[in-house]
Amino acid sequence: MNQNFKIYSDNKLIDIIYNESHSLKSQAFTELYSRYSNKVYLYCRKVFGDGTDAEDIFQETFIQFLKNIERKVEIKNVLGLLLKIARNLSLNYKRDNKLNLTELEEIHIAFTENEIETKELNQLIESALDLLPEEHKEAFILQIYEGLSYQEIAELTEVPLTTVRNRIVRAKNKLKEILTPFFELNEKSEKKYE
Amino acid sequence: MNNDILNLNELIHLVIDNEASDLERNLLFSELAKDSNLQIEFQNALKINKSSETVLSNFTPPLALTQSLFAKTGLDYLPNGSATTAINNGSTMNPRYFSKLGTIGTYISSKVGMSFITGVICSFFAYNLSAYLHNNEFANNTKPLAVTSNQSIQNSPIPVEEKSISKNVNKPIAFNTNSKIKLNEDVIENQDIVENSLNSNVSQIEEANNIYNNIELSNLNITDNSKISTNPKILVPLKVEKFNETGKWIDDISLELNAVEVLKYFPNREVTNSDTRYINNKSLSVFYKNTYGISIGQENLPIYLVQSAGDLKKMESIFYIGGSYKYDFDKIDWLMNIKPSITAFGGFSQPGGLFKLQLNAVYEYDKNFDLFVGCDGTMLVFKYQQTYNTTQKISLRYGINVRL
Repeated sequence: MNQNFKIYSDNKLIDIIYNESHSLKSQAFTELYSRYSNKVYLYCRKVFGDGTDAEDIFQETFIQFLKNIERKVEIKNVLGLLLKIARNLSLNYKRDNKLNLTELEEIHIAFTENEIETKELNQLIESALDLLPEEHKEAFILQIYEGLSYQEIAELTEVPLTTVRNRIVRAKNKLKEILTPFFELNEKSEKKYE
Repeated sequence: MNNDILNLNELIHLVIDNEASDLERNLLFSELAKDSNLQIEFQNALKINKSSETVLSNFTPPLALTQSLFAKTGLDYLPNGSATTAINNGSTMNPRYFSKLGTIGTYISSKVGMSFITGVICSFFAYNLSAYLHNNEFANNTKPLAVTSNQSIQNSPIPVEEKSISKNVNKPIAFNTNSKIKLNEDVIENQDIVENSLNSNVSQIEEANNIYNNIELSNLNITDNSKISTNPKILVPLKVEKFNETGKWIDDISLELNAVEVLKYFPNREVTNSDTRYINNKSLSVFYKNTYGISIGQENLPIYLVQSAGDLKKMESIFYIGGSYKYDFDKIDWLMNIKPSITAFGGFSQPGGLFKLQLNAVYEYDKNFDLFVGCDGTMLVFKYQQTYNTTQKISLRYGINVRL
């Protein structure tokens, strides 16, 4: 049987996962996975880096998500729930493993030592993110990479909207500040070739 | 938005993120119109936002991670247009060729392994045919063992069946090929007897055969085994060695029928048998000298064929063909003729290369017939999205081996 699961809504897929046979359940879950795995994986990687921690959290997120479906938990926003699970797992993991947060003051030191001229902007941002305070970094990731609105982030992280706004704005300002040498360098080279 | 005071630099981000109010937006744009530095700030902020657009595509979970996740959930990964354990049409081999091969394979498999029981019956038939051929070969190459009424038979190193010396014997005695007859010190227990037997000269044998030709076997009157002496006057056929050297190529051929029961798939997943379950997980091998073989079979493996986006065909069974190398550890004899054996297989299937390593305990029922049980490790290597992937399984295997 070949159904086109792509046309189904998230809720319909969840319904199939809960009610249907193993085969249909597998196909429905695969479709949900294909819709959101990149975003969840990105979140985990941005939070934990390249290590196995990110992969563990990623897997556990989907396993818990499936359990939520099987427990018939009402799910209005799949990505929101997935990110919430991933976030809670991340926080627990960091708490249990006592991971240190990077202090904002370290940013300049780290980057003056790097040869930023040779790096791409994306790589720079990725590196710079690791130097941001955890809350700022998380807000930035959720907003920029996951595409959540400030309001959605506020709901997800359970903090006031103004806090979210301040975190994002400060994170971006800090990134901009860090990346200024790169922007200036780019600007100069662009002018040179004009 | 909240009324917290924001400077213009911060306002840039709110506007770009579409989180600013109309008032804030208007304020920023009016300032942008007259401040070139602010314009640069705006452009830089925009670059940061835009940079994220390309990032997401770089964060696809690795295939192994996806497989592992689905294995943990107990679900099958059935991607629409892509697959975890999957192949694209023509990814590794010519699909048209394999389509035909698969059809032929299915046909052969259906004929060969309609059920394992059928295979067993066929094998017994082959086994009996083999015994018949050997009996005839010996009869053609050697003269029958002659026994006269006044000659006694010792405990023969050549194990002639008891019925051959009973009064009910009414036909010439032929050596039974099923017996382990070898002129080999390892097998023959009574060396003296053998030597004596072998030293019997040709004239004795001829004489005996002459006698044989002149008597009626029905006149034999050997009814009491206790009267059988140990006098080694056994007549040894001149061409005893022919037992092992009939010179026909078919003697070096053996057939092996094998069935597997999957213990675990790697990645772990549920593979349901289809309507073709009776022909699945069976294989037939033809071995030369019980060492080099050609094997064909059809087995379950967790794999899917991606035909087009959103169109997925589950391959519940895979036909394969390839070469085998078998090594019997003849010098190791555990118990009751049970010996270890190892077989390596390399071949190909529609999805890709298939490799097997099999460890067996072989029970040598007799010279022509073995039963075996063991474990089978199978690995399928296939190409998907420009990378080579594998899927494996461990199975219990059992079967029979018949030497023709």
